[in-house]
Amino acid sequence: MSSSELTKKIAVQFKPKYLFAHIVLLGFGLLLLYPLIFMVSVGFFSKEEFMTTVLGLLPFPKNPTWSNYLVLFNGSADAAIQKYFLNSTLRTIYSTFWALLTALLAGYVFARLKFRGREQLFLALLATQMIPATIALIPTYLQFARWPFAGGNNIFTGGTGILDTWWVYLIGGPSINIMGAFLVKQSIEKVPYELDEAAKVDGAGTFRIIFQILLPLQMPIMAFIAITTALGTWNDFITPFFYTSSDHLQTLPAAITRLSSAAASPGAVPNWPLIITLSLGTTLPALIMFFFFQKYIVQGLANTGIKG
Amino acid sequence: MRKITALTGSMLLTVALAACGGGGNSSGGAYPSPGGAQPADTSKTAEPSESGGATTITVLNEGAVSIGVGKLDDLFAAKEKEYKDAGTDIEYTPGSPVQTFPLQYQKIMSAKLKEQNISVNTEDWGWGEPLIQKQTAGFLAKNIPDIIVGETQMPGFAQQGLLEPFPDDMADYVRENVSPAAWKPMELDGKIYGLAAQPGVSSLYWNKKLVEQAGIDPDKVITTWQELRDNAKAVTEAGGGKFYGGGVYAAPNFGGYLRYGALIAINGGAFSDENGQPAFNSAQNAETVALLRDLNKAHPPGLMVNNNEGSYFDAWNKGQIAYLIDGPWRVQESATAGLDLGMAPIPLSPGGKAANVTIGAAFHAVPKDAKHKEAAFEYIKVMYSKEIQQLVADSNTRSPILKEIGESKEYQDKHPEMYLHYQAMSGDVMGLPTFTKDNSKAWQIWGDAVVKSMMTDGDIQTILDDAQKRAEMVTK
Amino acid sequence: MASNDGKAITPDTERLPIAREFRRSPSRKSAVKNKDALIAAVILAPMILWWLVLSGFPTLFGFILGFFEWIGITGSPKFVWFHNYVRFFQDPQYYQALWRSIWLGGLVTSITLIAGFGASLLMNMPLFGKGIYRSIWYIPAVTSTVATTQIFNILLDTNNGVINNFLVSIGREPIVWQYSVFWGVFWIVVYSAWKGIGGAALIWLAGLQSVDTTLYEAADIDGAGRWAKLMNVTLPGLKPIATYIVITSLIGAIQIYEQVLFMTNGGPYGQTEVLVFRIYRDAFWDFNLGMAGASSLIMAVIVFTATSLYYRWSTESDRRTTTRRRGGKRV
Repeated sequence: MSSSELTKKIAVQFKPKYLFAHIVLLGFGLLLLYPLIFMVSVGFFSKEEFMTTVLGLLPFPKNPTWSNYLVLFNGSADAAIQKYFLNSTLRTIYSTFWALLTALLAGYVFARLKFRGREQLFLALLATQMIPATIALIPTYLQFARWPFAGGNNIFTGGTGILDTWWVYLIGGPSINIMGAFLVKQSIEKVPYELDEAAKVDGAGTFRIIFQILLPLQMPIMAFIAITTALGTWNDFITPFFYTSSDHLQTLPAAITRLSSAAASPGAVPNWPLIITLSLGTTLPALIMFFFFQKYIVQGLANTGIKG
Repeated sequence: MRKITALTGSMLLTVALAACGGGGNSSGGAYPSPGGAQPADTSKTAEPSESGGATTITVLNEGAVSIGVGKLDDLFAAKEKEYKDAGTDIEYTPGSPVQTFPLQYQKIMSAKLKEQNISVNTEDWGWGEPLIQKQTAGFLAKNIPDIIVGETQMPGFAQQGLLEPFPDDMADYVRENVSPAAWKPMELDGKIYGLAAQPGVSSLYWNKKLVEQAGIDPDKVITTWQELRDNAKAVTEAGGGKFYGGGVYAAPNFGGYLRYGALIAINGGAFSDENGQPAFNSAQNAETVALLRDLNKAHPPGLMVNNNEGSYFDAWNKGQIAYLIDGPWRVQESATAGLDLGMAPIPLSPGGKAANVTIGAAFHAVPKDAKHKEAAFEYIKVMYSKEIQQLVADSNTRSPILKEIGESKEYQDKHPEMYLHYQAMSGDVMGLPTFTKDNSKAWQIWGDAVVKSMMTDGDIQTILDDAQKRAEMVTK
Repeated sequence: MASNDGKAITPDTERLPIAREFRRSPSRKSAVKNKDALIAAVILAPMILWWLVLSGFPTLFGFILGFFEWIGITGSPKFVWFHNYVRFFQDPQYYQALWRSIWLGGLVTSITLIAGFGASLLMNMPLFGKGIYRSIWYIPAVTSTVATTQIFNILLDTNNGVINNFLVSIGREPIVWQYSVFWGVFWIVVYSAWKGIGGAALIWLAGLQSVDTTLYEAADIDGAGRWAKLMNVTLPGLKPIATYIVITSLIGAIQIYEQVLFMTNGGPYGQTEVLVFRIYRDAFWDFNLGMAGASSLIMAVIVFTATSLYYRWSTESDRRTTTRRRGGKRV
């Protein structure tokens, strides 16, 4: 933009309306941020000082320590942070890839293909998202333990199935990502059908239409799905915690849960400063990821076939 | 589409049936019938050890002695390095103070088990709610370590027949030589199902500085509930909102039940009858709840029933409450917080007699479905061996459970406070009951009734009667 | 690149209904339909079948358990027909928890969405640093519930909490939060809104940006005021995205559980206990999988009914707005 436009834009920022927006967004933003600022400063406490300090609005220790932050970056004898970080990353990439692929394909089918029972099937799939996940936890555990021919099982029994193997992370990949499909469906419905028709006339097959014609238009929405899936997977601790035990399979959130539960052994005072620092650290990569992609998210959602 | 639906349906059915075969139906076979006595599954105990003659058992970690997960022998080097880097002395001679308790504990375990050709692999399943969750699933899928560990859920597991009782000779030895706090809560129908190497029981602690400010002799030991009431009130008045009398944590959670459970027991009350049915509304319980109500007035508002156990002990550490009923770790914690502390057995009610509830105990037990039961019992034997118990004695945060060490002259002299605690462990000690059905609901009804009694002026007996009625509906 | 595409495909207002009619047209050859069905089956079948095996089956298994009484891990399941369902509606611990889940979920959803909408209106202005604002507002959503509820507890602690310390320092009485249902609900809602508001604002923002700008120009020509534009252009334009956000937020809010567990643990006297909390306790503490299954099914049915009613209502009115016949009967 030219410099005169820029100065105009700057001048606009000082209009009462704009000043008001800045004040509200910044003010409430800081309020929202406050618990996290609090967490950062708690990270400088030693367990002992935290125990005996009466906390003010923004507490800072008399004898600040880096030890909690050092554990975050170097790990400890009990916790190889780098290994968990790598596991988290691999798992996140894998899940995100499949979530995108299944959402795109299924979204296309539900938006474009005509077949009997389409709406019903879609609603049925959506309905499953309303079931509390707790209910499936034990059956899933049993299913993993009884996975045929895996982990020393003869058909169903005898071994531990796929529990405590990489399979618990990998196996869910190819199954349909329903919420993603919902969004892609909304988004594709906004794309004029003539685009498909024209491609068909040129002799394009279904998959060429999906990947060469529609996918480029869906990039923003794909970015949104990627981010939400990646964040969800990154923060998920139930899967690693519940279905694995071995150290080499742990991810960051699971390892943190373990560290905090070690601190919660009978009678012990939990090392809150350490736990808080570690959980803050876990969210850091997610935050960085979000900051760089938030632009795409907004554009992605704007594409969901929303028309005035 | 219809075909697909039909196909899917039949497939689901097949899988469902198959899974039942793995999980549910077998309850007629290998699983014992609920409640009834069942013959031990001998074919499993006699399982041959692994190739090379060595048996590897899987053991769940407990925070107080954990040094990481994996093969125990591989963990020592890293832990030693960590201690060294922190400038901690990793040497330990029995009989002298120990700074590296978990490391020494595991080293002794490893060495003693190696003599019997057993090696240990540790896993960490967390603690509290997540642990219970995972153990439940593990039991169902028969995917369970050789030694499991836990606190309030363990008697329940024993009741359901999920645990292997100690062999008779072992049980006899334990009864004879080990302090009841370590195994009594895990005793059921004359069999012992688990053991804690370093359990706790509650004692009365007081902050000498605060007590003195109320004009009370800080070295005088109080012995009755009335004194506790009066002193707590006096301190509260002296504190003028800066500090309070305190007493006991009584929130509606296990942290609360475990602590005031000792008061209930002292007054001859109980949470349940022998059949696991609620017994909430006895006159004894009402008296104990009345004490709690009085003590609540000697607390900062809301503190006594705060869901966060941490908040309560936080107030103690910060010198805001004068009296406290809690486990033995309080001695060391208070030293860290710089408090001058008095310690005595819990005061008695008129006509009451000394009793206690095991608290902060990591009960170790061998599941029925464990793959190496014999080796697992060897592990438990090492837990109450002289070497481990000497180490516990030297740690000075808990008391040893082996009578031989706890009752020695040397121990009395070296650790007077922990000896006091040891004596409390040797008295009439029990665990919290597990209700026959819908355990958590019954406990919640009780907990809510106590909170209601404390926070309102309603008639305590009426509140407890009502709770009893509701709890009976749930458990029957 | 992406932004260009976003603009390039903005269709004119007439096209969408046409496309819809085209698809609905009964004159389409059934051969096309069959071919479509075949392709759909080829694409969908593997991923749906796989999903059925991995998620559908365990869920169904859980539901089926709702018809059994199964007490204790070693007990054997006994088929009891609808006994668990009858108990659900007789035992106040269940139906009250369901009721609480519904109104608490509704409260959290409406507050989050309304506040998020307000924020998104501001974020939609050409402000400097709006990317930073978006990020700041979104940060709470990425944090872990276990850790942040703990922070809230530290802040809210009655005795040594930061807020009460502050109140005392300015000469006020400290507030005993856990004595009161009001404060229990209040803080659960505040926490949930804290965590959800950034995400809601973001989605609303996307909706705002997709409203056809030509409509605003047209409204300007008509001399419409700011309020009229909001009511007649912005809000109707947002309806479809509202469908998505209301449905997803409601599904999330009605399953609120962790914040209740960590913040009030259901207190005082179980007055903030929600249904998912109960389900969790049933499944893992009491090993009463029958009641857990029955409760889950009841909850799912209620949420689904509400959602599909809303879905239908909103797609109907969506159709009305796209044909510019707001307020009138559909032709």
